[in-house]
Amino acid sequence: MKKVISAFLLISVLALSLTACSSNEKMKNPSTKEVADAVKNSTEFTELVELNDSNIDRRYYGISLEDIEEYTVYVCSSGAMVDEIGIFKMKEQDDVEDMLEVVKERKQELYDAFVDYVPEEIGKVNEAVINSKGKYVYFIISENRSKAKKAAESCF
Amino acid sequence: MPENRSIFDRKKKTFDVKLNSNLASLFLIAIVLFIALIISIVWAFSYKNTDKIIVAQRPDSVSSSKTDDGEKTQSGGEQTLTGAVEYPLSQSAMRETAYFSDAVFVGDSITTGIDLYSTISTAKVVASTGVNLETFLTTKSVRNSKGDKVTIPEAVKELGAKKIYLMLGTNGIDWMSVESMIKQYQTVIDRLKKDNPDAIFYIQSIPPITKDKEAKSEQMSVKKIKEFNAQLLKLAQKNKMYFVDVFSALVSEDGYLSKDISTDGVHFNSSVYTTWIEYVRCHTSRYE
Repeated sequence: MKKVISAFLLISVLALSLTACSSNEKMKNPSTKEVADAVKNSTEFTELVELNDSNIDRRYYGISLEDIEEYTVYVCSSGAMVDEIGIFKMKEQDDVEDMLEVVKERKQELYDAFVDYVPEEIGKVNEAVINSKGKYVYFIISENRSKAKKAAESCF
Repeated sequence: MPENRSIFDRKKKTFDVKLNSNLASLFLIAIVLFIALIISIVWAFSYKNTDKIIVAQRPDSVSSSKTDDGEKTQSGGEQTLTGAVEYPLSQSAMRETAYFSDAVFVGDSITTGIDLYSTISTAKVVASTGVNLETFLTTKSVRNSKGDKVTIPEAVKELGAKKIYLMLGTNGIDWMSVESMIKQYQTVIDRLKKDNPDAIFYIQSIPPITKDKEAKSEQMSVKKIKEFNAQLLKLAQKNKMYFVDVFSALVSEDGYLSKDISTDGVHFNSSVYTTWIEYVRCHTSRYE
């Protein structure tokens, strides 16, 4: 009996470790553009404009571009709406936490700007997706939160 | 006898010579006085005429029109001269982008687009969504160089810009009276002038809105916008600041902002920003 239990345990451990390995092998490595475009195409967004190095730091305060391997950020071109997609791939896993703080600050900025200006947009801001997966950090403000979130996460 | 006659002749001749030289002196003095009089009249006349002179009267509709030779001219409102400055600024040679290297564009969400689309990368932009004439001086909606949240005037002061382009009023047209907006605008100008004593100011008229936007709004209308812009021109004159009629550059033939270039009726796409900045580059001071 003891031998059976030991064998079962051993097989379980081996099976689990194999699963973990296979999970790592299956993890995708999409470009941030692929992820951002998948989100953009998943549901309706108001007209979006892509940010670049010359203007991202005035919207994502505290962003450290040297810690970022690549990013794709779309913001609303209309000053009256808050739709946004921000996908960041960090160089190091350790930088993910700092980037999440920057993104949270961005969400707060949008909240402060719109709470009195266009209050009907605040619901979207409050339900913003802020998450990370591996070295990726993603931030989505959308009318259809669940669809957009699913579109992003299916890429990883 | 002949000697007497000769003496008499000599005396007469002397008298004649003296009379002639006196007359000549008098004549010269008269000429000098006359010239002095002319100079005085001219000087007095030109001094009196540093007041406003209406040089052109344009129709009420603010739209661009073509002359016979096909060149676009500005139309709308009065064109006036104060000293040697035209109101609004007339077209001049397009400035190099370097002219804007010490310039800052200040305003609300409309102005943020200049930064968003990198329309003129040499200039700075200090603007935030939602700011209006009532909150401009107090709301900490932008960041300074240290990343601290500050008001727009504080951020502008830190830049030390030599040219300040101001566009405010779109936020406010919907609920404020033109009179109170202009009053608030003066307090904004007073603060910016105090903080930036060496800067020159370009006050920009606010853009039109689409017909649909007007139809949905209670108070927001192109008519009210034009009324505000007309008062703004006078405010710029009063404060001896330049006035750039951006409205005229962006309005379409029907007197509204074209719906093809605006999704929400107020903000517009990147091509319009190009038009805006090109207009600004072609309407600058001739002196500084």
